[in-house]
Amino acid sequence: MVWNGRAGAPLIRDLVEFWRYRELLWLLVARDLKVRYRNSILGFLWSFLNPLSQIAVFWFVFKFVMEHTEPNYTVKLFVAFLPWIFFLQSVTDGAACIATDAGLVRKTYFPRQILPLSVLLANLIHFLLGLSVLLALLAFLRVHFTVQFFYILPLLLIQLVLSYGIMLMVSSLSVFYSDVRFLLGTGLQLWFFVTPVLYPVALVLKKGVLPGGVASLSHFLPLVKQLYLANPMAPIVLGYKSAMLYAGVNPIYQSILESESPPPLALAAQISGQYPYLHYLMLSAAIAVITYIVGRAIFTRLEWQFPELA
Amino acid sequence: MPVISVDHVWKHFRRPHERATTLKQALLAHVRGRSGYDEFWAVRDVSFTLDKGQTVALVGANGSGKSTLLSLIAKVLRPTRGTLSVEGQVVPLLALGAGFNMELSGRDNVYLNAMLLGLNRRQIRSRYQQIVDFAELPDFMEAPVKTYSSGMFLRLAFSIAVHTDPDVLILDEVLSVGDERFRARSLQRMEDIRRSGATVITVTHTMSTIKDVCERAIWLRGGEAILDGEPTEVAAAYLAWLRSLDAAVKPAG
Repeated sequence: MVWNGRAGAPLIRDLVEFWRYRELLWLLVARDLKVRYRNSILGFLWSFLNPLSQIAVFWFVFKFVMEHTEPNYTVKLFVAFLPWIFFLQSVTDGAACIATDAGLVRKTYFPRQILPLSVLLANLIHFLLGLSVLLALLAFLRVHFTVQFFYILPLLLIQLVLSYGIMLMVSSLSVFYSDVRFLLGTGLQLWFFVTPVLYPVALVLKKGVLPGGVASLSHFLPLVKQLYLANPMAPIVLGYKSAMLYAGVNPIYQSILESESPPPLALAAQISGQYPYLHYLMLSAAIAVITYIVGRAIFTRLEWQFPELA
Repeated sequence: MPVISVDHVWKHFRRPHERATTLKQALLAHVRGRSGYDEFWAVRDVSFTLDKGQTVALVGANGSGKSTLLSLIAKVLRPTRGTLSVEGQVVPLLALGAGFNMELSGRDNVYLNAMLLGLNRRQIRSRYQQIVDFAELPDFMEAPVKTYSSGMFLRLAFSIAVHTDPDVLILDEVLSVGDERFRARSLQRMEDIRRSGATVITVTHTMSTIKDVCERAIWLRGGEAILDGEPTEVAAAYLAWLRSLDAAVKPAG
């Protein structure tokens, strides 16, 4: 029985196992894509219409109700929202994946890790489709493409590892406790608002630097800001803006520059020096790897009980 | 050299009266000292070995541990105690069409299911026509499976399973699929599989099938293997036991 041998390099063994089951993996991905929009008239268009309608809502609130004046706000919203939706959808679908395929889990043997992975890959395909629409939009808006666009590749890799790690945790734990899914819904909403998707990161980082910062908090503000940037999704979302809109310029620097109309060069240099973007990106990568390792440990500890409980 | 060896295998289930599915319930149950659980052993100290090419039937009343034992051999469940080893490709048919997706076409489901049962894409492609012909569904393969009748569904599922060249084939109460003619062909197909050297384990309540198809039978009662031998002998003992239960019930009623 090859249930949970612990020796050896787990990552390598996982990859070998995934490779051995690659055909099944692709078939499950294809099934996800085929089944998701069965019996719907608009079909695949929903992959775009859903995020599009959400973007429209936030755009309306920020642009008209709150009169948010950030330059090029709409494009930035698109660029930041797309990777976020990919993350949100993967994790949400992932939480349900063992229960969805309870029939398979109870009756056949295959590496269970394939299920969350197939959900992740199906969502990756939706993301890539969305990305192509976004690129068309950027071309239409005459945004210049630069070679720094390819910075999104390492960002994508970090996000995949992070998402997969979280999916391993929530998919296995939600077999035992359905609270996990409710907690996840609330948690992701909170997570969304502490990630610089809807607003520029300058808004947070400039707090307390300019007059008008919350006085009582000002003592702890540097720590709060560090914690804010330690959110592994923050550098990823910022990175997308940098790669697609700022030609690879440090997104923290750029965001502060754009926050005032005579560009505050000294302030931008000071703050981006104080909160070095690349360090936070590396921290994000480290958190992603740790999340994967912990998620895998939880998953492999619990997976043998799936057939009895799913 | 046995293909399957089951060595003092025990399987324990903790069956909650009402399973705790939220943290609150779990905490409450914990505080109350886990009173909500019903502990029981589904399989108790079962040992046997099967050689290549043997066909064995498991008999026993409902809840006697047959399906649990099959799930253990299929590696879906893990034994609580004891060891269990199986050589080669195991094709479990624990429930026909377990991996079927109702929205997908018959064709897509053949690929998905056959792959779950261990075939690769190339093998499936080369056997696809055989599978379809055996199920007698050539005109329905592009339609979603949800439009199938239950007989069509089971025939397709059975056909996939018996075209997978297994080393070990596990059939859980699936030999009664389809009409008389399909059943006759199913038995013929099983005979072919057995001749090709595969080990077949089956569960059935039809004693005539056991005598026709199997060369050995194991009777499970309350999770224990209480008799292991000639199918006619085991079937007779089992039927006698069933009759004795009826006799015990009748005077009271």
